[in-house]
Amino acid sequence: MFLSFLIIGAASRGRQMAKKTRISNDVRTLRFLADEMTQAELAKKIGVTRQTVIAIEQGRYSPSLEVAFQMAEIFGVPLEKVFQYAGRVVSDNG
Amino acid sequence: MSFHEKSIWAMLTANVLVYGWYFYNMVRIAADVSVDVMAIGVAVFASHMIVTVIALIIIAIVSHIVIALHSLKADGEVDDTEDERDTLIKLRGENKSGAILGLGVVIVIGMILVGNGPFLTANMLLFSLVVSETVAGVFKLLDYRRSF
Repeated sequence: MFLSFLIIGAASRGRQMAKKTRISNDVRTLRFLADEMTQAELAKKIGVTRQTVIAIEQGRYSPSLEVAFQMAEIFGVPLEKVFQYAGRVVSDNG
Repeated sequence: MSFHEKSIWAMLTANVLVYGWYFYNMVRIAADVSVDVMAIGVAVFASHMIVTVIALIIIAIVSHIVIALHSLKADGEVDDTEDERDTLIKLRGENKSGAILGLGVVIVIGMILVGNGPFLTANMLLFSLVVSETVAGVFKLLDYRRSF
C-alpha cells in the first residue's frame, strides 16, 4: 500500500519530467482564438472528459484520429494546424 | 481528477486494506502450530471471506457515493463520462493484471502438484487475484499521470 502511494506520488511529482508523445499540438492557442473556449466546453463538444483535454494539451496523450478530426472541425482548421508530428524525417533517398 | 481515477484510488485502497487484514489473519492462523488448519480451514476461510466481502461492498458503496457527490455537474448529474482515454487505460491495466494472474495460477498448480492442501491452494489463488487487481490499479493510476 505504502509502496503504491510512493510510486504514484513520485509519478505525479515527476509529471514535468514525463516523456511526452511525439505529437505536439496547438490546442491551447486554438481554444484561445475560438472565443476563449474553456477546456470543459471543448471536452463536451468532442465527447471526452476535461482531464483528457488537459492531457492532450500537455502532450501526455495522443487522441484517436476521430477525436483529432473532431477538434480540427470545431476549430475550423485543417488537422495539421491542430496536431504536428515531430517524428523522424525520411529523406527521398530513404 | 476524474470520476474513474477517484474510483480506482478508492477500490485500490479498499482492496489493500481489507485483503491485507484477511491475509494477515490467514498467515497468523496458518503459522499457529497448535491449530489444525485442515480441520478448521473451511470455517475460518468462510468466516473471514464473508467479513471481507461485506466490508468491500460497504466501502465500495460509501466511497462511490462520496466520489459521486464530489463529481456533480452544474445540472446536478454525476460526471462519470468514460472516454477513449479511460477505456485505453483500463485495457492497459487489465492486460498487466491478466499476466500476473496467469503467473499466479501456474504457481498454484505447481503447489498442488507438490501436495499442498485446499486451504493453502484456495488462499494462494485468492492472493494471486488480489495482487493482479492491485497491480492493475497501480498501473491505471500511473497511466492517468504519465504519457503513453
